[in-house]
Amino acid sequence: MTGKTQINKVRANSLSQNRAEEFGYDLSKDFVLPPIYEALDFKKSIKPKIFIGGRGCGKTMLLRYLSHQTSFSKSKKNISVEDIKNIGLYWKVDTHMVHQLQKRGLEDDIWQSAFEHIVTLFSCLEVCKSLESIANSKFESFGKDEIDVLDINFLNEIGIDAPKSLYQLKDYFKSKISEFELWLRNVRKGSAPQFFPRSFISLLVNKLRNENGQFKNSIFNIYIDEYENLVEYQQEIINTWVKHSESPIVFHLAMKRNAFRTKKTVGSESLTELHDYRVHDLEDYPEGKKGFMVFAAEILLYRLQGQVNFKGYDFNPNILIDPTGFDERKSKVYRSNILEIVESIFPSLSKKDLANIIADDKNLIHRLFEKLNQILKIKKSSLTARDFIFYDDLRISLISLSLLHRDTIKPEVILGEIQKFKLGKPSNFNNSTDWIQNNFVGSYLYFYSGLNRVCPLYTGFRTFCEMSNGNIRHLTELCYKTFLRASDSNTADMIVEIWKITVDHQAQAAKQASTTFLNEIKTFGRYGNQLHTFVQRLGTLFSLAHKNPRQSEPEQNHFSIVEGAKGSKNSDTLLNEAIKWSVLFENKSTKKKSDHNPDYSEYVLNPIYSPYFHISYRKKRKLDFSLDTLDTLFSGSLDEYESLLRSYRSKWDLNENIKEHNLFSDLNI
Amino acid sequence: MNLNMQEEEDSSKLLFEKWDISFVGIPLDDRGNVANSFIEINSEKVIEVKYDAYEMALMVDGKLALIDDLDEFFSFIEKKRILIESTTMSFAEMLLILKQTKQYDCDISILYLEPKSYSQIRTPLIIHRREFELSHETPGFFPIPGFIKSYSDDIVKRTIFIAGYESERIDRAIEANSIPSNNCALIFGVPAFQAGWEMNSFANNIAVIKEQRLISEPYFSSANNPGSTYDILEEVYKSLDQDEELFIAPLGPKPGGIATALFLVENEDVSVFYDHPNKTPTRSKEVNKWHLYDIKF
Repeated sequence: MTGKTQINKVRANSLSQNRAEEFGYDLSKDFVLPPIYEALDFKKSIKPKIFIGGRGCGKTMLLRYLSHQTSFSKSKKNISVEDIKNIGLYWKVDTHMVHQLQKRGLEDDIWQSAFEHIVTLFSCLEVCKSLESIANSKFESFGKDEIDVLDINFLNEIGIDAPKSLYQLKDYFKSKISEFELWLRNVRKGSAPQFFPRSFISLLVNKLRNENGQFKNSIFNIYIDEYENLVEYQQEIINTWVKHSESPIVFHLAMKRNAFRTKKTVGSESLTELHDYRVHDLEDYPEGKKGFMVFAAEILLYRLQGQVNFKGYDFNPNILIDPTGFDERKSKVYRSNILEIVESIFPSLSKKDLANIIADDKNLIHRLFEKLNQILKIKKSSLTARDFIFYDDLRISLISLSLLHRDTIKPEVILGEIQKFKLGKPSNFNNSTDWIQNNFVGSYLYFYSGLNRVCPLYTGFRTFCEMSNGNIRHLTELCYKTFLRASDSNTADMIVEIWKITVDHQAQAAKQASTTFLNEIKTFGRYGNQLHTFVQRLGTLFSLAHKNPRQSEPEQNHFSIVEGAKGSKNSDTLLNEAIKWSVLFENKSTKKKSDHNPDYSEYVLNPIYSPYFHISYRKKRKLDFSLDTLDTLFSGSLDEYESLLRSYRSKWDLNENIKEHNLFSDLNI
Repeated sequence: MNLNMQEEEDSSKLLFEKWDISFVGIPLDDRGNVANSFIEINSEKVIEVKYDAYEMALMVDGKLALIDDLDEFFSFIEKKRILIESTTMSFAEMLLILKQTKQYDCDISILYLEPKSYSQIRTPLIIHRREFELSHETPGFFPIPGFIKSYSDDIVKRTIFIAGYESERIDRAIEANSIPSNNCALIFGVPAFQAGWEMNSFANNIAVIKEQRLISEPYFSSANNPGSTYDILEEVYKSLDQDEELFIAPLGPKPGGIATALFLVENEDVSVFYDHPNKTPTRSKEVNKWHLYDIKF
C-alpha cells in the first residue's frame, strides 16, 4: 500500500444505520456476507437451521438476505436455475398478533387451528410473492408470460372457491388475512373464518412444481424470525413443523439465546439438536475474535467505500456481497490490508504509549507523584515518588503504585526490580513473574478511576471489537459515535476527516456508546427494568473491585455461583433473561471446580458496558457469588444492596470514600 | 365529537350533575384516594375495573369479563350518565370503558386530577435525578384486542408517541415493534402540568430521539389538554398516505391517553401500542388541579 492520501473526508452518517428495518427487504447491495454464510450449505443439506444471537448480531439481516426479495433482486445481474433451487420466505412473528391467539374464551384447539391458519396464509402469500420476484428478476426461464399462464389454484380442487391466476391468488390470500384480522378484533362476534391447515402450503408448492418444470427441484425455506415471541403452544406447533421438515418445505428459525419455551412438539417427540436441526450462533465466529475483527473491518469499509481513498488500497467491495468472494476474503494479504486500514482509522496506542501519555499531562503526572508519595508515607519509607518514576516507560511506575500497596513486597525490593528493568536486565516486571502483563490494565484503570475524564484504554479498533464481542450493532455504534465526536459539527453532513481520528475521540465515543447500551437494557423485554438494575449493581460491584489499590486480583469482571442452597426462582428467571438478551454471556468452565460438581458456568458481563463502569473489558478474574448475593443483585432492596457493597468494601479493605459516579458520568460527553 | 373541558383548583368549583355510574381504577396514591372520595359522594354507583393484559380480560367489580364479551357485559350502562375516573385507570381500562360508553350512547364525563409532585427514584447515583419511580415492571407491548387494525409487513406504520418521563418506554416500543425511526414522531406535553416539568420529559427523551435517530419534528401539546392532543392526532391522520396506517403509543401523561382513547374510539382504522406498566404505589404526591372533560360523541 502507498501512504498517499487523496480523499480523506466521509460523512459520519455513513455508519448511522444499525437496524435491519432501516435497510428494507432487498439487501443485495447492503448485506456484507458474514463468515457463517459459508457454513450454510443449502446444496448438501436441507436440515432446518436455527440462528441464535443477541439483539444486533445480524439475525434479521441474514434471514432477509436469504429471502426471495434479495435472492431474486432486480439489481442482480444473473439468476440461474441453481438459484431458484432455494427459495426463501421470511415471516417475522408479530407479538401483537400471536399473543391474541390464546385464551379469550375459546378452546385451545381453535387457537391451534387459528395459528396454523395464519402462518399458512402468510406462507402462501410469500410463495406467490416469491414467484413474482423471480418473474421480475433477470431469470430468463420464468417471466411475466409464464406467470400469466400459470394455473396454481390448488384450492378449487378441494372445493374452495378461489382464483387461479397467481396475481389474483395473491390478492385472495391478502383478503383472507384481512378477514382473519377482522375476526381477531372480536372472536366472539360472527363466525370464525374457515381455517387453512399447514398442508395447504405443501399443496400450493407441489402444484407449482407440477405446473412449471423450473421449480421441480425447488425447496421453499420458510424463515421464522423472533421465534421467542411465540407463546408455548405456538412453539410446539412450529417445533413440529421443524422436526418434520422435508423437501419441498423446510422451516428455519431465528431467536435469541435460551429462547425455547419448550422443545415439545404436538406429538410425543421433542425437538433435538443435530438430529432435527443445526444451530448457527451468529456471535460465534469460525475463527473467533480474529474472524469477527476481519468481518467488522469489512462492514466498515463497505459502508465507507466510494467516499474515501483507502490509502491507495484497491478495495473491491463486490467480493463482500458475493458468495463467490469468500476465497479472496480469506487471503492473508487481503486481511492484513483491510485491518491495517481500519486500524489507521481507529488508531490505538501500545500499553507503553498509553502509560506514557500521563507524562504529557501535568495534572496526571502530578497525580502519579502524589499517589506514590502518599503510599510511601503510609509505608514510612525513606524512598520518594521520584525513585519510582521511569519516564521512558511509565507502565513501571503505575504498576509500582499497586505493588507498593501490597504488604508482601517491600518498596526497596520493587525499586531493585525497577533498576534491573532500566538496565535492560531480566526483572520481575518482564520475567516469568511478569508484573507488566498481569498488572498493567488493572493498575491503569485504578489510576484513572475517579477522574472526570475518559480513559484511553477503551480505544483502537481491536479494543472496539473486543468490547463488541461479536455484535455488529455494538461495533458500528462505537465507530459511528467516534465519527460524530470527530466530525465537524458546523457542517450539516457531519463531515469527518477520517485519518485524523484521535484516541480521545474514541475514548469519548466508547463511554457514550457504553452509556447508550446500558440504558437500552431497560427495553429488554418484560424484565428490562430489573435487568437494568442488576447490571447497574453488578457493574458497580466490579467497579469497586477495580478500585482496590493493591490490584492483587486485578480485572475482576465476571462471576460464578458457588454451590449451596437453591437460589430464588426470580433469580433463575432473571439469570436466564440476562443470557437471553446477551447482558451476560455464559461460559461453561473447563476448570474443574469440585469432585461433586465438575461442570460449572461463568457469567461474563457484556464488555460493551465496561467503559461506563470503568472496568476491564478482558475476561480475566472472577468473583464467586453465593446465591444470596445473586438474589440481592437481582432483586434485593436498595438497603440490602448497599449492605452487600459495604461487606465487599470491608473484605477488600477499601477505606477510601469511593465515588461511584458523579453528576456528569451519565451525560453524552 | 364535542369535548368540553373544565379546570379548577378544587372539586367544589366543578360544574356537573351527579352520575349514575362511575368507573374507577385501583387508587395508588393521594390523587386516587381523593378522586374516589369525590366519586363516592357524587355517583349512584361506583364500579372498579382492572384490565389483565395477559388474560385479555377486564375484572369488573371482581367479576371476570373477557374482552370479546364486553359488548354484552356492559349493556347495563345504556343511556346512563357515566363518569370515567381516569387518574386511577390505566390507559387500557379507560379505552375499553370509553368504547362501551360510546356504544351504549351514554353521557360521558372523564375526571383527571393532576399531581402536585411525582416520586423520584431513591438511588445513590446523582445521575438519576430526573428519573421517576412511576412503573416498576412493564409486561410488554401486549395488544388490546380490537384496537390493532393489521399485522402485515406490507403496510407502512406511522407512529405517534405521547411522550412522558419514562423514555425507555418509547425506546422499548421502537425495538419491540420494529418501528422504523424515519416515520414516527413524539408529542411533548408543553406547557407541562407545572412550569419546569417539561424539562424532565425533554431531558429523559432527548437520548431516545438521538439514539433512535428520530428525525421528524416533535409536536407540542398542552399536557393537561386532551383536545389539543386530539387535534394533532387528527392532523397526522389526515396526512397519511394511502399505504400508511396510524399507530399511537400513549406513553405519557394521562390527558394524552384520554386524547388517544377518544381518537381510537372514533377511528376504527387506527391502532395502538401500549405496554401496560405496573404502576408504582405512591407514584405521586398530593393533588394539584382538577379536570373534568364532558364528551358528546
